Formats: sequence, C-alpha cells, structure tokens
Amino acid sequence: MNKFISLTKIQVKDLFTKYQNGMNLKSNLIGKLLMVAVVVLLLTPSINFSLLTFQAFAMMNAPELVITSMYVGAVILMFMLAIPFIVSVFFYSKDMKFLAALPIREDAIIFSKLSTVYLYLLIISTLLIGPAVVIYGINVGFDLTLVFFGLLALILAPVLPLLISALLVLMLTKVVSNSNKRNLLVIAGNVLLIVAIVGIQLGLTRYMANPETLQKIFSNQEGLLGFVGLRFPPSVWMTRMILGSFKDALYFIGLNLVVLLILQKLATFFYRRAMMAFNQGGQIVRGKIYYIHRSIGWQLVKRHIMIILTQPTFLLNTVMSLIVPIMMFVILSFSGEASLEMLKSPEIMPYMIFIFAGILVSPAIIANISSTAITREGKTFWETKALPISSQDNIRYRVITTMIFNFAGSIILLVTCLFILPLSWETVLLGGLFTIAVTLFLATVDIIVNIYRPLLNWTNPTAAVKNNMNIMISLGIRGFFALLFYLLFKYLPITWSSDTTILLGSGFFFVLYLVTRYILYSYYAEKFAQITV
Amino acid sequence: MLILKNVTKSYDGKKNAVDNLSLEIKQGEIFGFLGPNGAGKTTTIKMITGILSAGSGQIVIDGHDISKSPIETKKCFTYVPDHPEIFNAIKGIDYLNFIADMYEVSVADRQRQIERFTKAFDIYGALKQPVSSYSHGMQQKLLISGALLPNPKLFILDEPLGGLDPHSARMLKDMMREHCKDGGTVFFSSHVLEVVENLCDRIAIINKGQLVACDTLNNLKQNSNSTLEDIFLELTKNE
Repeated sequence: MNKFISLTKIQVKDLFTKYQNGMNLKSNLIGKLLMVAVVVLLLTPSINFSLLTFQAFAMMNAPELVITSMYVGAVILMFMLAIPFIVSVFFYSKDMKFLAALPIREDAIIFSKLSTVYLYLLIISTLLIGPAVVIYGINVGFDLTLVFFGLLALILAPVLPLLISALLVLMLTKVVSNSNKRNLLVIAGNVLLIVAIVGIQLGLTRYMANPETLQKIFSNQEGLLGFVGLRFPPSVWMTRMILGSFKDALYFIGLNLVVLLILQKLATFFYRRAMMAFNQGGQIVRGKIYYIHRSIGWQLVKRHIMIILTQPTFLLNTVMSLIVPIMMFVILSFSGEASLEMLKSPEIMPYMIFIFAGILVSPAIIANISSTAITREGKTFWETKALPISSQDNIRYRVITTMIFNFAGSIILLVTCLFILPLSWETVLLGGLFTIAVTLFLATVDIIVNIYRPLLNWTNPTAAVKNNMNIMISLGIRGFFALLFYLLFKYLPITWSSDTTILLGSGFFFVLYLVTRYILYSYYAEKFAQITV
Repeated sequence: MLILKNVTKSYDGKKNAVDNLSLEIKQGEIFGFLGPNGAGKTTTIKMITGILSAGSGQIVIDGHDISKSPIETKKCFTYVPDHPEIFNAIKGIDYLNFIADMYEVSVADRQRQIERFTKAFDIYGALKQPVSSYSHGMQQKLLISGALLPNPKLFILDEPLGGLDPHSARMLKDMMREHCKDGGTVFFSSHVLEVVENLCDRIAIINKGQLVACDTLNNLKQNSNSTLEDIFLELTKNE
C-alpha cells in the first residue's frame, strides 16, 4: 500500500478510536449509535435553516444564494474549528517521535495529519452545504451539472479553510516554538476564535442594521450574491459553478489546487522549522529551590488547581465555561436581544432576583469541573492513592477545587451585576445564598458521576474533559432540575413571592447537598478507594 | 514488618491474578520479589500499597492492616512504581515539597534529605525545571528521592532499576543497603536476577499468581550448584 495512504489510514483510525474511547463507552454499538445521533442532531437544524434561507432567497428570485450563504457560513465555521483541531493533531498527538523515525517524506507526514482534519471538516461541510444543495435541487430541479458540481463543492469546501488555518497555525508555532510559554498557542488560538465569532456576529448585526446598505444590496442580484458571499470570491465562483458556469468551476478548482500546491511547497519547511522545533523546544528555568511547609489540604488543592492551570485544554475549558454567561450577555446586548435598559424596566423588576440568581449560579451550572476531577489526573492518579491520606480527604479537596473555580466565576459575575443591575441588598443576599447552595450541591453530585465513571487511561486531554460521557450525565442532572423547577413553577397551586421562591430553592438545594455529601463520603468514598489506573 | 496472609486478587472474577499469597518480610531485610511477566508482581505491590484492594486475605504493615487503617499504614512506607507517571507540569522541587508535606517531614529534615538524595542522583541542578522536561531516568531518580525523603520504615520499589544509568543503579543499591542497616526494610521486584542475587537477604518467586519459592538464596540453592537464573527458570517454566 502507498505509504501516504497507509499513514493516513492509521491516523484516521487513531482519531476515531480516540473519539470512541474518549466517550468512555463500554459498548462499541452504543458508541456508533451515539455518533449517528450526534450527526442527526446536527443535521436537523441545518436542514431547517437551509429551508428557511431557501424560502427567503426564493422570494428575492435568487434561490441559488442558499448554497452561497451556507457555503460562507460553513467556511467560517470550518476555519475556526480547524485551528484547535490542527493544533491538537500536530502538537499534542505525541506520535512525532514515532513518525519522525519512519522512512516517509516530510510533506507526507504533514498531509496525512491534515487528512484527518479534512475528514472532520468534510463532515461539517456535508452537514451544512449538503442540505442546501439538496433543497435547492429538489425545488429548482436536479440535473447532472448540479449533482456533479454540488458534490465537487462539498468535497472541495474544506480545502480552503483547512489550508489557511494550517498556514496560520504553523506560522504561529514558529513564533512561539522557542518560548517556554508554548501552551499559550492553544489559549491564544481559542481566544482568537471566540473574538472572531463575536466580531463576525457584531459586524453582521451592524451591517444588517443599516437600511441604506441593505437597499444597495437588494437593488441588483450581483449585489446580493456579493453580500451573501461576503465579498469572498470563492463563494461566488462556487455558486456560479453549481449553476453550470465552467469558467467559474475552473477558478474554484484552480484556487484550491494553488493553495494545495503552496502548502505542499511549504510542508518541508514547516515540518523542520515549526513542528520539530515545537516538539524539541527547550525550557527556560526560573525560580529557586525552596523548603516550605504547607498543610496537606493546601498541597492537594494546589495540585488539583495546577492540573487545570498547566494543561491548556483543561484551562481553556474551565475559563471558557466560566465566562460564557458574560459573553452571552455581550452578544445579546449588541444584537439588540437584551440590553441594560431592558433589564432595568419595571416589567422585569419582579423577576430580577431570578435573573440575578441565574447569572450568579451559571458558573456552577456550566463549569461542571467535578465531573472530571478524577479523570483529569489520568495515569498519575496512583500518586494520591499511595499517599497517607484518606479517600474522604482525597475526594474533599477535589470538590473544594471545583468550588474555588465556581465561586471565583460567581464573584466576577457578582461584581459585574452590582455595576449594571439595579439590585437591592436582599436580592444580593438571596441570590448569593442560592448560588452557594446550588454550587455546593452540583460540585458534590458531579464527583459521584466521576467516581462512578472514572476514565483514567486517556491520551488526549480533550477526551478527559470534552468527549466524555460524564459531562453529558452531569448536564443531564442540571436539565432534570431545571425541568423539575419549571414544572413546579407552572403547575404548583401555591404561589410564593420571588424572594420566597429563591429562599425555598436555596433550602432545597442545601438539603440535597447534605444528603449527597453524606452518600459521597460514605458509600462513594469506598467506591473511590477501588478506582485504579 | 510486612505480612501478607492468603491474599487473592481477581480482575475478571474467573482467573486469579494473585492466588492465596502469603509472605512475611522482617524488619531490616532486603526482600526480592521475582516472577515472569504477568506473574502478579505489580498486582501484589499495588495491593500492598493500597492502590488496589485485595479480593481476600490480609495485608499488615508494621502492625497496621491496610484495609482497616489505610492512613496509618501508608505512613509506614513509600512506593516507587515501575513507570514514573507523575504530575509533570510542576517543578522537581514542587514535587519533593509536596511529598514532604504529605509525610509531614519538617523543613530542616526535608532540606537535608532533598539535598542528600538529589545530589547523590545528580538531579539537584534540575530541581527548578518542570518534571515534564526530565528524561525517563531523571523522573525515576526524582521518584526515588521523593520516596526516600520521609525515611520510611518500608521502602517498596517495583522494577526500580529500569531507566537508571549504571552510576545511579549503584547509588540506589547502596541506598537500599544503607536504609536496611539503619533499621528500614526494602521490598522490591526486579527482572535483573544478578541484582537480586547480590542484594537480597531473601527472595520470593511468584508464578501465575502463586508463590513457588520463598527463602534465602543459599537455601534455594541447597544441594545444587545452580544459579538463581537456573532456579528461576526451573520454578517458572510452563508445564
């Protein structure tokens, strides 16, 4: 078998096996079914959105723009998703020593790794552009040109975002490869990603909000195509290609080939100057040798905090979970769906305690750190098990670590809320009480999930904190309580004031915390003692 | 110092990885634990250290039952595993201070012990570096330094010589002897029969989870001119 195909095959196999192992599913069938379920879940909104977009463009007599708009959206999304994925396969795959020793061309290593990312992006491309092409074909009529060029568009769509993000990542790696803060690459990449998402959202909102611009756009069809194509020539070429223009097909295919050629020419350079340098870079030594006594609790909490802070994937996952509520508010404010004025309106005031408590408690809801508190340790889990500390303490300091992160997030949100929301002292106290009770409960119940399902033999940190069924289960617990409260609120014949409701809710969660805590430190502490790497 | 009474462990409920194992290691002994790959050595050591619970039987260290009073028992020993998988994003000195705090070693003692062992193993200069930058051998030396630092009554090592250079291997063997001379006990597993032959006061050989021999080398050799290798191969051959 061709070396490149063989290498690509093993990389793809490795990727999908890691995904399946990451989900920590014992049954192979369940893993496959789950993958199908995820695809269906993603396909349904994509079909709905394509259908709505088609109807809107059909009314403007330009139905083909459904493909353009979905292509543009897909390219942006693929570009953003490709960055962390490329970072992961190139710099955290731990197979460089193995690959570097094989008699394979350097560009083959680069391209085989990119092939795995391509396959991942092809799924996204199929999920987003596929329905648009099919809906367009069903409504306007299928012909051989549409089928052929539609398929070609699907297959080629990931190439451009893949190669641009690869060039970007590899260039960035060259810059940071000699730094001892190389993990910053991952953090910076992901922060840029978020900034880009928010930036695009804000830009589009402002663009759409200007009536004069819209008038110009809709005055002619080319203007509309240009707008939908975001002045991005490949999207315009791709649309015209699907409509049967061979000249634009040549442009579109030619562009992809040129970009491929550029990367092929630069592959060897990147392999030697970026990848190998990154994997071999030295460490800058700072600090001094010290001898200081600390308590066992302090050391264990520090250990668990350090595990999060020193692993970019864990850190990013935690930080992002904690700032999601703030970002959501910013996005909603800029898009006009929420504003500070709206929050200060008299109609909202009776519900202010719910809004405030909801904001404050959001870090505990979103950042379910306890559900991976054991998993994060991976193969180093044996260390604390061989130490003279009780299982109860071993669990306790993990829960405390979660609480530290969650309360830190809540405190930041509290300070922000004190500035922007009209809050009374009663509201602050009740919201705070509710947050403490919910955080205590969730941090405690989540670690039970992790004790029940410890996943310690992971090779990729993403598998430990993202592609992990524990996260789904802990989110399911939150969903259950949200549903329970919704049903109680809707159907319970007794009505209380907002303050009383929050107070009762706090009491409810505090009791739940005490019960869960008792179960955790009795039954589950024994189960914890049985966990082994 | 260490007593194993009818210890059994099964992972799948069908086949015993360790089968009815009984041993007694006396204070001041260097005890070698031998066996082919998959014989149950690491499983036994993991049960002794409390990383794995025994299916049945009893493990007592310095009078403490590991299943009944795990903390008191764990205070009596330290452990060096066969693979140096430790949290490596911290510096070497952070790791050693962490271990010192866990075993409640005073500041003066930890300074003396850390300097003594890390200088002996030639990693003192690397203590300010993150453990992730250490080679396999350096990580092993850090683990051994950490394990010796609290001056444990029982020093347990699983395949400790793999990854060590000849100087460090010699250093470790000297330290094991010195530890026993000072009243400590050493329990270690190894594949290097020559080391076991030269170092150990008594030897146990385990095969397919069962103890097949436990005695001094001289007694094992009784009435023959066999080497430890011959005895080992004879006792562990597949029937």
